[in-house]
Amino acid sequence: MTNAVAAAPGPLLDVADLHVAFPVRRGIVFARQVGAISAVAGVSLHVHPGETLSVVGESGCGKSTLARAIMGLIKPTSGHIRLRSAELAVLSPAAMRPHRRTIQLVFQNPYACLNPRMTALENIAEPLRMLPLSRAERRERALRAMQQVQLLPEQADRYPFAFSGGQRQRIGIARALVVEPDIIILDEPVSALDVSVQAGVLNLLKDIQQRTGIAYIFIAHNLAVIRHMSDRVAVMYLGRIVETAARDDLYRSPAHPYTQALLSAAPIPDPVREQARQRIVLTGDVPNPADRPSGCGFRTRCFRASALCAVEDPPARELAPGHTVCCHHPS
Amino acid sequence: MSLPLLDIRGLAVTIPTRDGEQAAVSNVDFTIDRGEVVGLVGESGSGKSLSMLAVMGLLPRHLHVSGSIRFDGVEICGAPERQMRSLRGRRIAMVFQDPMTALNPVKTIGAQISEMIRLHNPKLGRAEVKERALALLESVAIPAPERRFDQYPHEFSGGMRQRVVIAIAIANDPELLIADEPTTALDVTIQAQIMEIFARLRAERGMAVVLITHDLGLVAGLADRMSVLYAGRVAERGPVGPVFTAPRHPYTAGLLAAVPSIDDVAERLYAIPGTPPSLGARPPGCAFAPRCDFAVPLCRMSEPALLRFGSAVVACHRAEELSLGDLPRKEA
Repeated sequence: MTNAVAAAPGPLLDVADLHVAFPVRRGIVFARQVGAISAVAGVSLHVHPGETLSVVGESGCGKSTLARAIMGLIKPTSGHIRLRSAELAVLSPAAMRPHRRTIQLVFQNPYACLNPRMTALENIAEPLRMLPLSRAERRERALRAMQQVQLLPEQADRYPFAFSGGQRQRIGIARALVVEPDIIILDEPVSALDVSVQAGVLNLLKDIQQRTGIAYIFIAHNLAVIRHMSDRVAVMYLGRIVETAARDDLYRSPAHPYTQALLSAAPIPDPVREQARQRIVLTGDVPNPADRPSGCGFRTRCFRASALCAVEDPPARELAPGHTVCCHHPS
Repeated sequence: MSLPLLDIRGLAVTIPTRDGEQAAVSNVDFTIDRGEVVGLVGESGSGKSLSMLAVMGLLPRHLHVSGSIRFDGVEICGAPERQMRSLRGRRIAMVFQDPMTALNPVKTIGAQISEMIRLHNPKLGRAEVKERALALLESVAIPAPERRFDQYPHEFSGGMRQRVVIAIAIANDPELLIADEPTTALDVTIQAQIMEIFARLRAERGMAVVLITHDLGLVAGLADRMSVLYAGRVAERGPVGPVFTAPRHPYTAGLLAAVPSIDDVAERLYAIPGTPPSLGARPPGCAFAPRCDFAVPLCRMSEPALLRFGSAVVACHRAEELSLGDLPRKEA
């Protein structure tokens, strides 16, 4: 891709203390705000050019809200989103527009994210309408993007229904690639696909990254897929990042009890090891974000919780360079 | 060995379409013994759910089912609705994928469980029914069952709803539980809780469980034997250990190699090229041949028979000669 990787070693994207809260309203005529659900509650993360940062967490942890806030699709309540040197969190939609070319989003459901009345090529070329390009140039760039995702030029004029799930997801990826962004946010890009098709899409994403030096924020819940894709991993629980580390550090020595439970709950396709494994089975469900427990958000399900955890929210502490955890009792 | 609890022979399900009858499931054999857990693995459209819905007698009328389905020695394929109704919920029960739609939103959880108990035990008194319902909620690890009893489904989280669905399924101590993708809609930590419940039910009640899934990890954790379906037919069947360590069908081997590993990082995953054939577009010969790295001309001409190799049964012309230990990590 033409965008040169920034010469400075600074991060491409820097998110600091981001909060996104949704108001809870009661009443119809005299509607008033009675509370707020804080979906993202103080998230800081950064992404360097060409790297993959994965965000893992269960449903309702705020990972998709985080993605939408970074994309500027939801206005954050407070915090900073810096892309290179531009501050995105304060921009109006119009002022945001020039930056949209740098950052793109691929959605989870390849059946819902394409316009069924546009051909594959039209779907892919659509984001280019915001750039000053001629019709021929748009077509040429869209065809090039199709090629990048290994779709054939003769498939260009078919409509989405004629494609399988895996191929539709490739169209979705091509549509993100076509504006030559520096970073793509992939929100559960393979979880709707069959196992045999998943691998092809994952390989493709890795190839594109190697060829173009693009950065990814890879949002997923499958820990095996995340291990395969990431350079660094951030674990999210109830709107916060509870642990961040380089991939191998996280999988080798997870420090947060939630990370440990997630890793131990992920099924391994090997009967001997799977049946012999000691599991940490968490009790209960994720608390309602509108009614966050006092102190540490995880303490209600934590097997290491102490009296301190109910009183004080654990601050982030660095266990090793690049390995941060928010826990009073890390191990 | 005694009679298997469920014995399916030559099951076929055909769907009428504009282009004539299309076989969605053909010639499927499947057995499960009492207290056994068998994994039924395959991708969407492989016929795994259809075969089990046929067992339950829950397929829409216009689908044509043939073959033999024996439950505890009695033929139930094509059995009259009255006979099926006395089996369903009492001796065979099913848990579906989506707990959000499996429950009635306008009835309390307690009423829905009680309904199932009363249906098959009409003589039980009100207090006894409630007592059994509460015991069921407790056995699926729902905290504070007394309070939960009078709540509605919307007051439950997804994981909790799936527990209620399981509680309803096991209300009459069925001998066979068919679980169709029971944890696909749930989070990993909740999935672990549900799988624990299945393991316990089997240990405590000797319940046989058919686990329909695409997640090989779940099969590895719970099942004794497994069947791999591809395009409506059995590709490979055998005890879980040998099938995982030494798969004989290229599709099984491909599935295993396509799943990224949580404790080892491969640079590239093995990607099975292409996609499964759609209904009515089944290629001649072996249905997997167009996607198979090992296909020879014979594969495109004749359909391979299921043959026994050691402890497993495999439908592949080249099962004997192939060594599938290390699939190439190649381009999709």
